[in-house]
Amino acid sequence: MDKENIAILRQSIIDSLPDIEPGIDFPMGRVYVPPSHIKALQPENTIVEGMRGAGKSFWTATLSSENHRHFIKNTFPNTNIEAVTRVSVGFGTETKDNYPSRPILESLREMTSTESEFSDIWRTVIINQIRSDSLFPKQGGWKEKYQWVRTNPELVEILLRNYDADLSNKKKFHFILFDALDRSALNWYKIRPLAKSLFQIALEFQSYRAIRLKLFVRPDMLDDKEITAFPDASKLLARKVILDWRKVDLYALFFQSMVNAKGKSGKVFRNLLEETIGMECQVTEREGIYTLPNELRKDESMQQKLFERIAGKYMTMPSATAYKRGFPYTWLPNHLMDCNEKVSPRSFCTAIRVAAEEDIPEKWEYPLYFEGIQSGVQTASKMRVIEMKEDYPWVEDVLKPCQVLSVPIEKKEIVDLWQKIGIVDTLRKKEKQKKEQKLLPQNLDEDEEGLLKDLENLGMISRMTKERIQIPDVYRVAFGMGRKGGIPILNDHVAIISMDDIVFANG
Amino acid sequence: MKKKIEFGDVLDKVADLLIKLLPDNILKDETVVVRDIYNRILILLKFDKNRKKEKQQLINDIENALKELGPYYRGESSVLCACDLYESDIWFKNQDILTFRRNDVEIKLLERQITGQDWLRPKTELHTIPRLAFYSFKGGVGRSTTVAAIAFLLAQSGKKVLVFDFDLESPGLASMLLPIENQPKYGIVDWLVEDSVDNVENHLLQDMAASSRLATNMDGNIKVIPAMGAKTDGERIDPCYLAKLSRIYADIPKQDGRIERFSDRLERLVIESEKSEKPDVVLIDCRAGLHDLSAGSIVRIADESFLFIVDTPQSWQGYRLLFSHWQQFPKEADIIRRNLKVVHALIPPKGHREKPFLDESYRLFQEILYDTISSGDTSQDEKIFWFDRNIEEAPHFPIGILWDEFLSEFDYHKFDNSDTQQKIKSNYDSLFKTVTKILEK
Repeated sequence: MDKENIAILRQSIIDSLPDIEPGIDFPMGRVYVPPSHIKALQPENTIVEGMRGAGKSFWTATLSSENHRHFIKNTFPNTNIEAVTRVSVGFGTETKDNYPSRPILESLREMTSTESEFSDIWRTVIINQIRSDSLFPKQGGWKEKYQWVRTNPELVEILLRNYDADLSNKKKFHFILFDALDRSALNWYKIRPLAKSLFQIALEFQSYRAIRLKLFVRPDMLDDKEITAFPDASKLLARKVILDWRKVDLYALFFQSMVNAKGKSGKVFRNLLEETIGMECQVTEREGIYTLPNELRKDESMQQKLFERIAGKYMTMPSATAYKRGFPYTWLPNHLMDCNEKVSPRSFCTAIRVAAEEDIPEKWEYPLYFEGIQSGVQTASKMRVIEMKEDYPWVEDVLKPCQVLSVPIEKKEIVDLWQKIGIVDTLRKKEKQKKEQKLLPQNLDEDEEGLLKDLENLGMISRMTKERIQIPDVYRVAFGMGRKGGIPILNDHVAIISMDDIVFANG
Repeated sequence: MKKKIEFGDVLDKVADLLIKLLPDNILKDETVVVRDIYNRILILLKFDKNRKKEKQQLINDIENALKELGPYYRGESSVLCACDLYESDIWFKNQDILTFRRNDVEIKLLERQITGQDWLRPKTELHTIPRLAFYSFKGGVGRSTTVAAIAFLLAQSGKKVLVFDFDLESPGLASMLLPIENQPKYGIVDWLVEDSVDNVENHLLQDMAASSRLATNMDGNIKVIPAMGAKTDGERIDPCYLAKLSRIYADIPKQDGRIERFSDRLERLVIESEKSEKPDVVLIDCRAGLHDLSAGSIVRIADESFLFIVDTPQSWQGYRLLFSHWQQFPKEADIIRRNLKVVHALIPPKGHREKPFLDESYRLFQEILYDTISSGDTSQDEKIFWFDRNIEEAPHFPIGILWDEFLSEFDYHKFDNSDTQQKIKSNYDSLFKTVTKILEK
């Protein structure tokens, strides 16, 4: 590749992958719907599971935008969302007046003594989204509305049924989206009954045809028996859809963003793509947005071929033993994975963007250099750790003291350490004093074993056997733990010819 | 009662007493511990001759301390100085000296063994043609079939392939690639025997490699060097095979006074065959188990060794045994571990344990052959040999081969139909991809 195109593509990577929040301004060219997400958007699926960064809030925001729905309908026909004419948010990350905020929810809960009545809170939220000429105090405050729902169960039902029948005659759908339920209260004791009642409502609403609830939830919530154990819950949960990002999906997202880069740079990448994978599968264009050929969305070797044009073949200078250092295409996602083998698109895009910001050597013929990719991965990993600490501050309390340990860690080692410093008590005190604004470990009830369970659910540790704990490098390095290997580090590695240094004489 | 001293305790005990008695610099640079073929210990010291008195005192102290070794004590004169030795360089500059580690102290060790040394003698010479070894701890895991299949696929992709059957004690690979009437006159065993009396001529090398007809219509070709040569008449079985086999493992003294070890000779065989055949790639079917033949192939000759592992306790235990041996000699292990790659062999068609296999393989490498880093050290040094579990290019990350009824009873004649070829292609796809990447330069 010539110098000019290298420079154009490097700039294009930086410009195409900025870290921006979803919303009505989110560029269409960057919206990519992986196959598992197509199902999540379809009207018939209610429960959508996704880890942090998988796209729960992204889809909540994007589905709410009519322009984006129009784009998705055109570009990803299998989503079947052409009949979705209205989308409302029933709970989410933004503070808006179409749903009650956490403090308001708190005050509504105080109006009732029984948790079973919490479902009326969610009914109120739903009714509030429905335009109709009923007695529902549309203009009133949330307390008033809630009170009305509680005292008029029959009217509520008639209202919902009429609305549903009306819409469904027109063959239309109204989505009501729920996201970020872990922000619906300050601690798990309070979140659980609220979430449970929402799940129950979701089950109830499966009998409606046009009003469609969609709950975007984290896996830990679905694993929580106190939330999902109720009669017939399996009817709801058996059909859950997972927002997954496979390796091919991450690269498809990257390529999709690149073919849609503004101006000349998009053209340069589209030419590169055509040159690499041939004429038979081409980028298509509609309303100014380019779409990847189907094959390039799912064929790993085709993707790898294209990515080699961007990042070179190996994670080192070419030589006879270069393959032992790995290949950029697989190296990148593999080094970003957590214990659940998940990579968030944000981490992935950050790593590539940072890689493009790093210098390349004079004679390097690709836009990305392997050292740049390495530092990109380090930056993305650090950001991931910060994200985790933000979401789960207790993680730091629990793992920081472990810096004296080495992985793999025997369960007994870590439990003894936690007991010695009394971490479980410290966390419980925090909970009692309500000092902590963020959530504490969900399974704190089960003491140290509960902490392990929570860390495992977050993908920060894995259990090889029940007694042995693995921690991936991302988190091991962040918390300063050692590694227990079989060979001590040798000071004089250089004294011996290592295979990595042997270059085949003719090679 | 005091614990009885056993084989496994001896080196640690010797190390401890030397650390106690000898100054650091003498222990590091001027001491060699020898373990003779009867397992007993001899200490060699290369002293400065001037300080006779102190020297004698030290020798006596060590001599006395060595008595604690009980049955592993050689008796008087267990400590010798350079001046006591006829030709001290034979000992102090011996090619077989290893480094033994005890509590961060390095001690030179010379193991006098009948066999088994080749497991710790990694290759140091440069060569041009990639050599791939296929090894399994136990037999019957589809290793030879895999070698044949990979040779076939490589030839199909235009490569010139040279295949060695190093499974001398149960030869068989040749019959998968060559019909019986096509097998060459000589085999590896013939070369080893004739070479020991300097009787190898060019025609022997040429008559040792036969072309497989499987590659007739391909861009590449397959040359096979079998273990056994086929006589031209009768059953085509060499009646002297066993007699030859039992004589090939001895070390051969060379004219320049050097001793040529078995693995050196194997390596020379490979080099000379490479010179005469000029292949693009060399495939070696290794003998199973802890035999010198396998040691030579994995450690001495190959650039990459595929370790076939089936998911059974015996198999894991076997590799643990082998790796632990390397582990005791970190310098050698550091070279060897870089050339290993796990193959998950005989994967049952349904319900196999993919993740538990990865976990187990990770555990094996991590605990024995990957580096240790103390806690608190957050440096991410490139040189450190350590991988996370899910890193594909790491030695522990397995390449899978499915068990296939059809391919498990394999012979030359089955190759010749398109169904088989299709099957081979799909079943060995991931291994073939890895091999292809190794050959890409």
